Amino acid sequence: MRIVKRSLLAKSLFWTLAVMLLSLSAGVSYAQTGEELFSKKCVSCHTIGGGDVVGPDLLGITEKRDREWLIRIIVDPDSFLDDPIRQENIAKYGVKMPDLGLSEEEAVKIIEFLSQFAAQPSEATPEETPEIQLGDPEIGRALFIGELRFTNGGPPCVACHSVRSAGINGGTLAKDLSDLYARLGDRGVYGALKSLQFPVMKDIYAGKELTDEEVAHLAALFKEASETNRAKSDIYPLSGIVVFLVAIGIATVYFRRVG
Amino acid sequence: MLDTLIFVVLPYAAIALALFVTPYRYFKNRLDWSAFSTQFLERRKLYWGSIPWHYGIVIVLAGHLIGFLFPSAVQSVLSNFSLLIALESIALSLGLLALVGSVILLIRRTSGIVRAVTSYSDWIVLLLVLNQAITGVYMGVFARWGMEWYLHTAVPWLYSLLTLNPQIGYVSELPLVFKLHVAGAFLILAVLPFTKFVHFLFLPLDFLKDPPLLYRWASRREKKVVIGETKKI
Repeated sequence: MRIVKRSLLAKSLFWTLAVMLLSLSAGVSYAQTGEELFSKKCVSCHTIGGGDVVGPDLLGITEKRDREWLIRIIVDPDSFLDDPIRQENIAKYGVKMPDLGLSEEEAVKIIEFLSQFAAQPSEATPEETPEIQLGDPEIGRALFIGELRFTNGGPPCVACHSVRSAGINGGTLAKDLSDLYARLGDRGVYGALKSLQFPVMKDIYAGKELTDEEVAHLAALFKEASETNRAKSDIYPLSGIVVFLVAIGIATVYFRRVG
Repeated sequence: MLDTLIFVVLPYAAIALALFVTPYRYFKNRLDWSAFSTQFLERRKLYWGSIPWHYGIVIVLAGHLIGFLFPSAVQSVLSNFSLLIALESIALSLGLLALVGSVILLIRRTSGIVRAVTSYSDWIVLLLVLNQAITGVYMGVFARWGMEWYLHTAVPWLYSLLTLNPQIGYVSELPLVFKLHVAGAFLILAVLPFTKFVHFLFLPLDFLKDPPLLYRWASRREKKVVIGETKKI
């Protein structure tokens, strides 16, 4: 009987692997295009024609900067921090372009993708950037922890993020946002929350964008968090371990009775 | 490409195996298809392995299922932040029970008479469940609040699989530990019809109303021993 079992198992593993390899052969030699690279690596901070957010709008950037400069800032941004254009941008946005680990080949693809978007005669002048008005930090907190739902059905921030300095011991899947406001400022926070083009978030908030009021309330929460420190002690995961020990205690008593 | 393998190919292959091989084996030769109880051979480690494992995993698995079936209702419940922490604490304790149980069950198989009756498929089953417990508890501790982010990542991805339009963007950027958890889950489904996992399909609800079995030991002792947990297929 053992032999029958083993051969069945071997067969099942063989077929699982065979099916997997077959379906994979369809997708082999799959290289990423400039557009795919852009949507993975760049969109969390840049738009193309959507205005400045965390970093500058890249509409028409290939006409504004030369190719070598663009390759360099994508591939090795830390190597020329003293460049005057970069210093100006760092001062303006308060953050520097991070090293994303992209190769020169990938940079060229991204630049080719960007070069399809020529600068339009500028209709939206920079002066028209909306006035940033902060909302109520308490409403921001209720939205963050999910007591108030987002109008368009997006998940509450607390599922993955904490703001420990505001006393919110939230999720640890993603970054603690205590210093978000200090890093990005009004405009950066506003832009980041409006676009939400970050890994994972860009998909789960697609079609569930935050409204302007919600962004304003959250921005107020982040501002408050950057100015105060109301960190609270965290009972989790200790609370889980305690419940576990209680369960083991019950099992011990029961075992004594039946064993 | 690894993401396509884990989030598209493996799930469909696993579902296909479970759907088609299960009825085949059910009608072909049901007699060699069992969870093969070893309770007569060893009881102490079995108690400390099987009881924590099953109490832990059954409730945790039910939680996964409830979140999948009623995502918006569960989201409403979790909007009470204190309740979320309480439920996560209970879930973590159940995960720890499952982890401890699966480790003990694995150790139990490594020696003595139980080892002699252990087949390759038993090892695969135990390693797969151990992987689920380790990765699950790891996420519970280091990537909380999984109960909540599960509803907005894994659940929409699973629905996209069901509607034959896989959207792996919901899950492909999540950490490696999540991918191991998902891959393990679908491997369990894939080997279900070939291993003792088949006991999933026989809900032991009758156990609840059965009286405890009475064993009489011929040699060792005179005392009557009442065993609370029984195996029956």
